[in-house]
Amino acid sequence: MVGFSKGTMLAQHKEPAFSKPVVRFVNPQTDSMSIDYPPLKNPKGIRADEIIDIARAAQIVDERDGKLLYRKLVRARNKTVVVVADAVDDEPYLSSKIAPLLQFKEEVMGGLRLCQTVAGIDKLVIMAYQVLTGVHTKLPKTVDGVEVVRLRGKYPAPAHASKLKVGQGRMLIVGTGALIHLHRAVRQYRRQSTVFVTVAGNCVANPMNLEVSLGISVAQVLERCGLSAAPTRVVCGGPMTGIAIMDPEKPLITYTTRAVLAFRENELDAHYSCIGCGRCEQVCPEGLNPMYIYRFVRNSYYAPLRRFDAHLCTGCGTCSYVCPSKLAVSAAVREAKAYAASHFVSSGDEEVDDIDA
Amino acid sequence: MEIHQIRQFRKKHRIFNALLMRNPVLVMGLDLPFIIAAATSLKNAAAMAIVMLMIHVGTMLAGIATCRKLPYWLRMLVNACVSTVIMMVAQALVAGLFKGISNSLGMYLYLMAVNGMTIFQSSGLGRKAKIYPVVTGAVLSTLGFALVAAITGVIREYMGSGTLWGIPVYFPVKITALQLPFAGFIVVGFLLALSRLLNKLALSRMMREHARRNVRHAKIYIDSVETID
Amino acid sequence: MTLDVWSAPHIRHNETTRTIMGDAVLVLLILYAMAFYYYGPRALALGAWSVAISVVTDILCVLISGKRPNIRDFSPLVTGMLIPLLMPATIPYGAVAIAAVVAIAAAKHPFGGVGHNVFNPAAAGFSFSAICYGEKMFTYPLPLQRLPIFGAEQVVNGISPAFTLSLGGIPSYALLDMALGNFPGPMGATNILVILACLLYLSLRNTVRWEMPVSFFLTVSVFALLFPRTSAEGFESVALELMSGMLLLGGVFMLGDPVTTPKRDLSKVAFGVVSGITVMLFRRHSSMEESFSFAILAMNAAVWGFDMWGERLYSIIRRRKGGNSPDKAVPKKT
Repeated sequence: MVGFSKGTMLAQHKEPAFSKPVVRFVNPQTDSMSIDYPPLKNPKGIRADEIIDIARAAQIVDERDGKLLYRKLVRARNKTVVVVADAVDDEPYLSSKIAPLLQFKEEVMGGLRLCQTVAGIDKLVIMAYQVLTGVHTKLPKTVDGVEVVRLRGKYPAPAHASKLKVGQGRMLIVGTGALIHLHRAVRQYRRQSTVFVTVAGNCVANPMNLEVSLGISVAQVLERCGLSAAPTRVVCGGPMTGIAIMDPEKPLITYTTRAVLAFRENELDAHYSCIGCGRCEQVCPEGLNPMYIYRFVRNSYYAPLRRFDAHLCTGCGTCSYVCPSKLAVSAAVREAKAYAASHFVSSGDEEVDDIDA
Repeated sequence: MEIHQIRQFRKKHRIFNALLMRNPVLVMGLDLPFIIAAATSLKNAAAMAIVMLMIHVGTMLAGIATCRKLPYWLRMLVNACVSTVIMMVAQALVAGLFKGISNSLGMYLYLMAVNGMTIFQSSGLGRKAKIYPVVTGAVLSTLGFALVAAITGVIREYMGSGTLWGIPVYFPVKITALQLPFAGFIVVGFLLALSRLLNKLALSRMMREHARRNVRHAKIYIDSVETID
Repeated sequence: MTLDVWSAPHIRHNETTRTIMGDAVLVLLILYAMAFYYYGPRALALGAWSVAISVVTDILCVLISGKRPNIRDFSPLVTGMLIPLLMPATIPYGAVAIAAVVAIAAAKHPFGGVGHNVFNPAAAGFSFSAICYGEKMFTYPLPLQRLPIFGAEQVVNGISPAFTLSLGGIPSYALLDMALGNFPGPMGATNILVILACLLYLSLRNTVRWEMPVSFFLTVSVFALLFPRTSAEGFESVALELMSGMLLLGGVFMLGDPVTTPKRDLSKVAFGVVSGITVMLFRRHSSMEESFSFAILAMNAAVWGFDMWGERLYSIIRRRKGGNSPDKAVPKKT
């Protein structure tokens, strides 16, 4: 009752993109840009600082959180206990981290071993979300000798990741795409110019995973996969946390784009009001009370928000998902969070001991 | 609508404000216990109105004198004494007119001596108060109170026991709970909402009249248009 | 192409307000079927009359507040169906009409309407009618009579167990009979087994959270065990208290109403315990034989306090937990 392992089960819809091979959709002019670094003296026994320099020259960005990889590696040199490859795709339709792992196994493992060299420890782990429904490919138990930890349970999954019992110290968590690019940078001296993107949705003709060059517009990506119907909603990012875009011609693929989704819904825009059922509060993984926060924000009554801890919201969107009146609860809580960040000076009660901070 | 025009309208309608826009019960919230607990029938409302008229007008007249001469803290005491004396006379009169009125009104008949509207308004008069406006205001305040009491009394008596002034009139159900004070709160609540609606309508009507009268109509002259072939 | 802008998340659960309230309506229909079995077509006529008045009043109130009436909103239907189930089957139609009008127009909409009301409308309507009609509200006919739809004067009335208990005696009905509903009482509140089945169904469908009725019934049982009102001891006292009056029906539908009860799990448990004690104290000391609805109204006024104390407690727990796990934030990316 008091524990916060809440959340909700989501139907995953990962096929057919999950089992199809990852296809390249690259801009030939930017594809094979190489980095400006003198050749390595001893490729087999590469040193940590050389890896970090190459990562900086190749401008690799970790798609997990948008941070430059070399900075994470610099911080990882002290007190790291485990290096984790992040292949967790807990949102429906997405498989842009797990599919490259399954297809480019050697490159991911190569990148992981390079990170192991930087951190100077032995323990390696791969995290993957145990996909439950209707997937044709099985997740392997180990990849090249490294254990694949399967996260079971409800969305949002990262709440479960803390169950990795690692003891004192830090975890270095890197996404699989960044690992692939790190391997390519060190072994083939290539700059990062692509990202892995899932294109899916109910009006995409051929849902698949693509390796897309940075800077290609979203409309071109959709055209590559084909649209079987005119979409009413195009989303950059996951279906739970992504951003709906107005005009697919304008946004471009960036380092942290994980997916492009195109949906067509036939629902009418009905204006319901909150019926006070309390389901949003039952499923919040952080233990917040979105119902009251929504009501206060809608009435612009911001004074009690300090007690309701809106700054702890992680933006997972589960509250809006379960709302029977289809209200924009998550948007209201995020608005409260922004208000709290600008008006309530926090007393520094969040100490996150993590490489990524 | 600018502020001085609102003030002009207010001045013109000030006399009748006591009935609707500044009704002592519904807008200013004075004398609520008498409406909620005691206005359970039309006879009660009529008796209360008569007593209130005598007490209120008499005390306001006395208040003109006290506000000129006495300091603030003494005014209320003197006014209350005056109103108690008037109340003793009034209740004797009303007991003669209506049979058994002190039973149905209970203690609220005697509490009228210190009702909020009288004490509040009689102690707040200025030094230059004149007799005619004060008396007119007092009569209209009482009229406002009487109006609300009458409406409440009619509703509660008709729907509560199927009678009007003691004469049985047909109503399908007898909602006897309306005679109790808690239902009085509910009825007064609905009347408050209704009065807000009426106030809003009155204000919007004023604004529309003002717009109709004072906005200058632009005169448009249209020259003859030459067609271009 | 230019598309509309939406906010995340972009997929939604397929449960709607219709399914939630539809569950409650379904369960009430089953109770009406049982009432029809025991009391004849008058039960159904009362139900239809109450539903009609509730729906019409609700539409009028919604129009007065300036909103658009929503056909998919079943809440006046639920209130309308619940009200006659609390009353005897011989109640005049006027009582049901008064209760329905007061429930919707005086207890629900002035406080905010659907989802925002403070007091349980069915409890408020029933209490108002009980004050108006006094003894008539508590004279129950013997079951298994076919009551005429209009003019129910020539019926045999029985003494309900709640009345006997309030006097300190032991009702003369067998426990099995009471469990099946074969004793005089409120129209929908006598079918104990059916109500328990409804409770199970509603908790499985998550319309009613199980913490609330269970904690309430446990508290009532403990109280009945420790302080029995009659000379019956132990299990018999508990069973009699639970099965008499509208305790079970109210515990499922009024205490399980998510709008008028606290939202947090621990607050719900605390609320159930305190309501149990309040209801039992009301039963001991009130002059009416069934004062459950008044106790519920009193507890509804205290819900905000329970919620705020629950929030304070959870805030302490949250902040203590919030700094520990290193991998908390879901990276919000495009």
